[in-house]
Amino acid sequence: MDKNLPVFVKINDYKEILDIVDVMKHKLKETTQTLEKIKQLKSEEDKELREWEKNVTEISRRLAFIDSAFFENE
Amino acid sequence: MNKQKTNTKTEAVKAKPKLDAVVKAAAIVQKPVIQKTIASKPAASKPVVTLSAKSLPVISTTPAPKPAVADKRVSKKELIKVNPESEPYFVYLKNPLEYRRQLLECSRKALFCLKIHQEVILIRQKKLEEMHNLKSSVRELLFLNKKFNEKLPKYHLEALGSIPTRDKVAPTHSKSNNSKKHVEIKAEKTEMERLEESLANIERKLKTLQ
Repeated sequence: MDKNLPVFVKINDYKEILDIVDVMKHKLKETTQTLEKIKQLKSEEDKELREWEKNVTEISRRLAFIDSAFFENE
Repeated sequence: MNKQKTNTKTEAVKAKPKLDAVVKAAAIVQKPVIQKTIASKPAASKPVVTLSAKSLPVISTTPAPKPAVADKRVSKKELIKVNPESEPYFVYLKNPLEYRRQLLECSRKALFCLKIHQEVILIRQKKLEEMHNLKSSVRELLFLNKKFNEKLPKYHLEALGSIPTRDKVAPTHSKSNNSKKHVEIKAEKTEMERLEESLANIERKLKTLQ
């Protein structure tokens, strides 16, 4: 049997298929939007974590300064 | 006799103010000494001052009891070791304002970190919700795809092309054992395994179409 033979679909099924495709398009749009939101949230989280790291580095720097000042006499 | 009595009386009256003056003078002379003893530490040889009911100082000359370790000489280091609270140790800091500022900055940064932590938790919650939404959307898409496939005309894979058939392995165990194992395997199947199975099925179909 040839693979490239034409396919015929019943007209009722065809209408349903069109509806299904329409719903699928809508769903795909929703999915893309959700993915975009997740991406945005991920970037926000990364930003917050970078800020966190910066703050921790700052704290350690300041503590090192205080530590050196307090224990330089020892 | 009467004259003599009156003379003695007048002498006594005259002598009384004299005595009072002497007592007052003695009190004035003794006052600074008493004040001194109150101000300074009560030494062993010095007189102990006590206050009477009328708040007049009464001096007793009895010496106070000597402490047991009065003669023993203790070095500074030993004193610190024995009772560190009695001799507090201070360290000079050159710029205390700067250190205070640094410490406050540290506290501020630590609070910022806690704030960020809360924000990250909120973001993760939102992300989790979005991921759940995504999962449900993908499931719906999968369902719609399946429905779409059902609406298309049926076809047999054998008719479209040759499918590589797998050689069946001859069963080695009895039927009862096999059925039990099959049930167990079905129970053990996880979501991941189910998805992998359906993926393999689709890939097999794609291969036949190529």
